[in-house]
Amino acid sequence: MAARAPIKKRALAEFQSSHTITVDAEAAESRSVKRLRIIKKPAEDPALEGTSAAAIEHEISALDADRPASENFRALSKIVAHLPLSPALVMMLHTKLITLFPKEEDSALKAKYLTTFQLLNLGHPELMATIDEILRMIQNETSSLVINSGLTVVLKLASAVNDTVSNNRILSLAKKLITRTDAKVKCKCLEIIGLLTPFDDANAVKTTLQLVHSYSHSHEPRVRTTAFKMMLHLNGKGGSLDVQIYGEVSKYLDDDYESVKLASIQLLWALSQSYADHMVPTPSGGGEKMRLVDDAFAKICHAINDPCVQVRVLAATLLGKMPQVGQNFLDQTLDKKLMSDMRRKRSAHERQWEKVKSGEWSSGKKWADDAPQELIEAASVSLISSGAAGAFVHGLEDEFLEVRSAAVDSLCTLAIKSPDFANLALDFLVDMFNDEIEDVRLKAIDSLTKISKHIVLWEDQLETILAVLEDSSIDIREGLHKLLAVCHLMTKDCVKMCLDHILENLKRYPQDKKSIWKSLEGVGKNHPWVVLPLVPQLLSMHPFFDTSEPDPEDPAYVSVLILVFNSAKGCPTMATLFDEKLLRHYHYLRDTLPQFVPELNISNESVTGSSDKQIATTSSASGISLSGNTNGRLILKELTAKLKSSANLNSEMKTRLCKLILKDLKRLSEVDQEISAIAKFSSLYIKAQLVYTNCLSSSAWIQLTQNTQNEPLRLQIQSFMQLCLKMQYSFTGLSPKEYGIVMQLKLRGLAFQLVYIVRGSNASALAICQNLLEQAETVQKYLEENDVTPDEFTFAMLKMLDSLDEPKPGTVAKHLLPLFEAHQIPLVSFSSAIKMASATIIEPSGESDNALKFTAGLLLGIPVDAEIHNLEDTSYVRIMVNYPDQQVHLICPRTIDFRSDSSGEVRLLTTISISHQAWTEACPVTISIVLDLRGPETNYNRKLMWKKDSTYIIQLSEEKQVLVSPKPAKRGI
Amino acid sequence: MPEIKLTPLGAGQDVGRSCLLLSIGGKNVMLDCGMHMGFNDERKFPDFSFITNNMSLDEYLDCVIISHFHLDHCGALPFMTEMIGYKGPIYMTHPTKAICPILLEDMRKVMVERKGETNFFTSQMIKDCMKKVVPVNLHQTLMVDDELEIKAYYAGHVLGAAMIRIRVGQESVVYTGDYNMTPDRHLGAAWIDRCRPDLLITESTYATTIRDSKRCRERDFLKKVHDCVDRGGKVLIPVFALGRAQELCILLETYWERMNLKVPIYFAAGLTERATNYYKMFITWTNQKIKKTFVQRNMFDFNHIKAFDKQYIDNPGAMVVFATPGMLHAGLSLQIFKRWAPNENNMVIMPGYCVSGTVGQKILSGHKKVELETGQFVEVKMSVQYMSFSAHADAKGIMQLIHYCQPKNVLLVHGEGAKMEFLKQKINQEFKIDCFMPANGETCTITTKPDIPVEISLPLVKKEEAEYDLQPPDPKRQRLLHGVMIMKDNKLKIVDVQSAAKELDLPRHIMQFTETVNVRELGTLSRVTDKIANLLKARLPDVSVELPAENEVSVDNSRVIVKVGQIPKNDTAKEVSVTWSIDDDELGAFVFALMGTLSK
Repeated sequence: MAARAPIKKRALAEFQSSHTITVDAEAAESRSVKRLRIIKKPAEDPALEGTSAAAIEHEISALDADRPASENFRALSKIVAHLPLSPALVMMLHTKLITLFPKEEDSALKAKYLTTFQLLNLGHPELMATIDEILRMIQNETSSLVINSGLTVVLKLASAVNDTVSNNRILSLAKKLITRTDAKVKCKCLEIIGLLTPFDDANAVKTTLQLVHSYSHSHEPRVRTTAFKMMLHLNGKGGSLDVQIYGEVSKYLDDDYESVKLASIQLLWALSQSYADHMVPTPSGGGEKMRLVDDAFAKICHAINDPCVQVRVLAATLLGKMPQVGQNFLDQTLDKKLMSDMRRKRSAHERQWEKVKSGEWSSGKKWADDAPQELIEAASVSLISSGAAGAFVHGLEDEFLEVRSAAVDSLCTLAIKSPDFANLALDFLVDMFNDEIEDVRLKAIDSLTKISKHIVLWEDQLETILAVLEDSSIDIREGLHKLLAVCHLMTKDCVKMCLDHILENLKRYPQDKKSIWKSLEGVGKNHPWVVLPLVPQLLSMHPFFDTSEPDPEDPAYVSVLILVFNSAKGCPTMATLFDEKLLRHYHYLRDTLPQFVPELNISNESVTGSSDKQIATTSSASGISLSGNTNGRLILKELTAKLKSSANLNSEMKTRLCKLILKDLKRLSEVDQEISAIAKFSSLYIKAQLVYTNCLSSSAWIQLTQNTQNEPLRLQIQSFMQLCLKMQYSFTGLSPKEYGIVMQLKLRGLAFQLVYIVRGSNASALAICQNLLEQAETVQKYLEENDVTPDEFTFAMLKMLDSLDEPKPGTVAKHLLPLFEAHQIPLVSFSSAIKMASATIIEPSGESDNALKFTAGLLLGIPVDAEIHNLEDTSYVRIMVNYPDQQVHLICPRTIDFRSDSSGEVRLLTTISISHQAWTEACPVTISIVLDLRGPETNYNRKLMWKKDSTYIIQLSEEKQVLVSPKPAKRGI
Repeated sequence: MPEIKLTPLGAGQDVGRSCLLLSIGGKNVMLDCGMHMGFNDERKFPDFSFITNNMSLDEYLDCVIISHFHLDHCGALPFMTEMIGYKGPIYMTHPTKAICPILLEDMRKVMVERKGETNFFTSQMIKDCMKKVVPVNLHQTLMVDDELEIKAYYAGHVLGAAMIRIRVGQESVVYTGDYNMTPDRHLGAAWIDRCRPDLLITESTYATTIRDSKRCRERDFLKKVHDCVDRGGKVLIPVFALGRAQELCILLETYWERMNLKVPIYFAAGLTERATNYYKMFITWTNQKIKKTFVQRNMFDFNHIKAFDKQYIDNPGAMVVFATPGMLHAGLSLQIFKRWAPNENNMVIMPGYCVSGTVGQKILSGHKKVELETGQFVEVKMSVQYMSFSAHADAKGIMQLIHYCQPKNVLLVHGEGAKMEFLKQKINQEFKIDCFMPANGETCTITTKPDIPVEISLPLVKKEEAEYDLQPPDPKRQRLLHGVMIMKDNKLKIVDVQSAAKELDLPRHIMQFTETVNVRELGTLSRVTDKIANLLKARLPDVSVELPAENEVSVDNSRVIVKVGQIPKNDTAKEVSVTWSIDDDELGAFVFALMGTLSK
């Protein structure tokens, strides 16, 4: 009991506080506090029973001016909670509110009446009437609360109506009400004036602008803020601001209130954009003049030292949007005059630069090498940052990441436009690589990539950049690889250093292989002549001795080769350096990694006989693939023509022919990359046909009864279904017509299944029938939408389903049965640019013989690294784990584990956890990437699936095996 | 004129022994109560006899405020409260209150046990002293008594450092203590609102320095450490227990995390470990990043940093060790230095300033052979690096703070006199405000222009406002308020005329003017009246013109009344009398002049 007392007390306090929020000061005097408290508690119960329209109707009619205001308030809240209502009730409520309003004295309730109007979801004509009504209601109102909410509602409704006449009426009222002393009403009126003023009349806009502008002198900060905001709005809508107000607006940058500062900075920026080249007097006076945009830039720079974070963020953001600013102002932003004990000091950047120039770079830092030099005269130092001085230095050092990242963005956009500034900004961006927040670091790296065309990196800068390669975050590393691929390096030492660090990176993080190769490809392309003197060293060539042949599978060696071959592309003399084994490796890599190794013009003459032969073979191979474009298509066409001609052959011949064609297609898909997807797709279609005819002709189908042994037939139907699903989900780029064919085929499969269940088994067919009906509907819809004519079978089936009164499984199956024989699967050929979804598992490689040991019953994490090609929607991708005891787990990776790059490929980097009871010895667990279609295909209806049914699971990748051995837990620890 | 008086007992044109006496509005406040680390005689504590003159401190002082836990700001506190005797309240922030006794105790041990100081305060005295402390929260306004009010702002510098605003009546003073305007790895930047105090007392350690960006220094530091451990070298970082040590720890910890390094980092345990616990607790006092991430992980829960054990000194392989004291003059850091110095793979990084005569200073100035005590020489082959990580505001930062809070006067303490001179001149120039820099014992008097509060009746203000708001605001338009100022009970009041008369119990005299003019006009009286009314309506469009009675026109709710009368035996002329009271002289004169034009 003792514990309950404080709870009650707190509840009381909460109710009291909630009451004071809803009721304004005037009302609070007359209303008792406790009344609401009693009412609030039962409010939950009647909410349940009062859901019916009748109850609401009752509530509406019960609203009465004679009732206590709090009761009306409660009733209204309840009504509002049940919106939307039927139109009749809405009208009833509408008229009720209008009649009640003048009689009411409680201003909180009046405000509530008004806000209810905007929730009513009225039609256009009623809206107009309502606006007029509300305007009339608040015309002679005294309470600011009521006026404010009235104006708010009117503004909302007016934006929905957008009618000039009513807008004008609202405007005139707002202009009248703006003279009220209440700040909120004033703000609302200003807002109405700003938003509703018609923009077609230039004069009206001008006078409005003047009116709004005069309110920027108000003593009330909220009014000032709204005035500035509305000026900005009017400016955006074409009413041009007067440049004269510039001086005035800039004074408000130092306002006491943050909101005013925020609004005025934006306005200042807008002014600077429209009057960039207007001349204004310099702040120091003396009759000199400067460009307005420069002055505004300096002022916004000053705001980057503001005490308020939001102001700083806005200032940092806006700086990047002022591209017209003069170069010397831009350069100032990164300049901070340093001094120590009144002596001028050079910044670390300057010192380092000097060392690089004098050639003694990387001699360690000495004590007092930052010792200050010449004495500065006290008068020459300006401590208040005048102008733009050091704005970005401060912005990048800010405590808040929002400011820092806005500053990095602005720095980047400004640097893209100005090469000189880019060179200045370089050091600062490199410094940001060391930020404490990863997003900011990443942003700095990306920014550097963007401005890379302007800059050339020296050793010292490169070294600090390369240090980031050891970062444990893969995003950072890949960002840096991208940067390296596009940047320009000064000397050969730079390239060497770059390569060394990258190889180190590869050793530490082998999963970066692809990204590193891509990066080195870029480095090679950009620096052909710089790489040239490095080649002997890189490839450890010796003028006299033959060195041992490196392993062309070693990723590090491949990296070096990629660098060399790509630079050889731009530097023909390099090819003369290549010896025989290198040429062999070149051809090997050209074959295995064509995307990283360019086509080199290496002549056969310098090559000895053995490799000559090899080149001949490879070139003939590549010859096939080159001309395959046309040949493959021809063959494909021929095959399909053959297939079509088989239409009037007898079934046995047809089957044989199909099998032959399948064989050809399979070979075709292996040989020719270009059309392999089409070939595979076609072969799937033909396979489906074969299965279908097989089923129909099987004796089990012909004598389909419940007591015969139907298992083989069931399996065949299942495989047919799976073929359909494969065609539907694992190919992209199908034309709507082709997709329609696939969908119809699937529908046929479903029908097939239904007939089998009804006639050949004693299982319930209700769910499957329902599913068929649903699918039929979607197919029909799809066909109609894409204007595809249904094939005979579908047409007949849809017609049949239409004619049935009550689609019971039995009747449907009965009517379906004759359709199968009557309408065979049509023969079609496919020609669209089809792509087939597939996946490659890179990690685990499946080659390791070492078993992963873990305690039975606990979890083992296996890192999985896979590439998924040509798949648009990754939401059905699962990782399937097959345990030796036939257990199958489907693991759904997190969405953030999918990392898609620009080329549309998706990389899946995740860790899956597996677990099992103890085994006596290590056994392989099979891992593969699959599409799990149980969800979308069956609407999560478990009844549609057999136990351990793998119909709805489509393999995307090869299976990889991992040896694991769960050990029993040790006892007695 | 009211005055604010300030007397530095320490830290006037000097660094160390911060102790300021402030008299404001009849209240006496002591700001900080530090000791001087450079002296061993009685000069180490402030001269309290300056205040007391052998009377009790309690009678004179209203409160003591401590800005942060550094000993030069709080070191003399137990001496003052327990040995001199002071029972009044002491204010400090929560972290300061928590960490301060640890540091005091540590210093006491050094003084008594190492240096053999007698007549020093005891542990019990520290405890007793801490019992008198009242903790303050940031931005909490605390009333010391009915008039004296204090409020704390965030100051960066070290955990729990605060700037204090002291207010008595209309006068206010801001004391910054030590502060930092650039954020570091664990603390944010100082912040204050635009409170416009009469006097800002600011530290000026770096009055003549403008510092380079912090990132560059950090990057340099990390790179050097990383290169050294990559070579398999050992890195020694001598630090003082609190403040910079935590910053460097966070820096290295995050770097290790990012770079996935496995090299061990050790921290010499003891005092610091206890203090780090407080850092873990006072998360709200740290910067954005630590505050945001502490839900997942408290940044002060170091993963890579472990406690140091003396046996580890000779462990093979790379390691990084933080050890006290910071100037390598004694203790563990010197011990480690002795072992590691002869190996050129190793490195020592001095993160702060070293007093001359210490080993730290010697190696920084390039000595290759250093004598440790008793003729023992050590060859220094390890590389020696200097990194400055200071947490004071530089000249720009000081100016920025002045810009933030916009004081009417500035007073510089906690810095060297010559440097202050420069800053003083700059402040005069750029802000056009007075700047003071008293020496120790000098009293500085600042006269303030007091605001005099006057009570105004609300309807009076509202009436004026409503009138003003009829037109869009214009800064040039005058705002006039008509009322009577009454001085009663030592208070000022402005009320409207009626209530003033009522309050003073005086009958109200109304002065009215009536002027008559003869107008040559034919027709009946009512016709003339209508004509006049129409004229008035035309000329005064904003004012109501009514006809309340026969032959009478009232302008603006009877402020001016025009009566039309018959001149006996004259048909062609009418007598028009205009009546107005003295308040409406302008309007009345206008109407009368209008009537005059009618007569011609």
